[in-house]
Amino acid sequence: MKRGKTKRATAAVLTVFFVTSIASPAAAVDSVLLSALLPGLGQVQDGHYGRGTAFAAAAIISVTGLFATEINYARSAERYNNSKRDYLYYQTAIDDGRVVKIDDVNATYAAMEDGWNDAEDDAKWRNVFLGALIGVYALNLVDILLSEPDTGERVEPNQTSLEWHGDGLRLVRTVHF
Amino acid sequence: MRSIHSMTIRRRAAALCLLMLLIGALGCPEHADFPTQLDLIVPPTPADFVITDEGPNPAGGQDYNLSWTISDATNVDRYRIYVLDIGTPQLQVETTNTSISVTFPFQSSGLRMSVSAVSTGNVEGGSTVGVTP
Repeated sequence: MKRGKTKRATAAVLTVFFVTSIASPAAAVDSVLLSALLPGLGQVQDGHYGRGTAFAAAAIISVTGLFATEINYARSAERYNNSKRDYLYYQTAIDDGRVVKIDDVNATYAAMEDGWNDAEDDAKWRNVFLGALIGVYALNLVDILLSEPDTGERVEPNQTSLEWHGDGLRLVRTVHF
Repeated sequence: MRSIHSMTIRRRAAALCLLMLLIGALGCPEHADFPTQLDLIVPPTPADFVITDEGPNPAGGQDYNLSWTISDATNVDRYRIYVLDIGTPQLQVETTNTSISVTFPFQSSGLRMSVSAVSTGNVEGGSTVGVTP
């Protein structure tokens, strides 16, 4: 009961923190902290909506993939561990003087081997998504640390043109300050 | 002043990142090393399993003689005879010889039986099936 209240209070504080940081950039928390909490959030606060969306989407895809592969891995690992326990139990049975059938031992060994192979494959995919998530997270932090907030000012490019004057053509370079 | 405040927040953010990575790394379950295969003494499978009908006995049942061969009896402790055609295989008898007489209380022509060896390491090997004549 107490834990439920604490969770609700934490969620409320986080929600207020999130909404105020997005709605009022002037009073916002540092964008680096926002990006540390959720990739892309700091970029959005700084006005880089495209990059922010890209980081957030990449993070969500990575987390979703990580979650799905983690479930598969956990199932395979559990299947392997159960078979391993059964397989090792045969040794206990033999030591206790009970007879075990070689067909049962071989079937359990095959199930254990299948579970192990599946767990190895699932662990590889899980590590791929984990690596992707860490990569996105790290890139997101590097990006927010190196970038400046978008103030909305447009910088005109320097222009070079040819202009006709009475005495001939002139090469004109326009510089904005 | 503002830059000092910003640096503090950035340090906290970096610490938070490290904490999240640590939680992520510790939260991943691991499947332990693959166990080595058990060191079992596996007996050979009996061969040439022959069931001979020895006719009815005075008690009204039917006598059968079962015999088989084994390629290497070094690690064989005993043999197990099963009757297969009555649901799950039923252990009928155990013997240390390669032949035995069994009696059924009924005429059991076409009944399937199997013989398997049990090693000195308490492992029961493969079985050979025979059919009563």
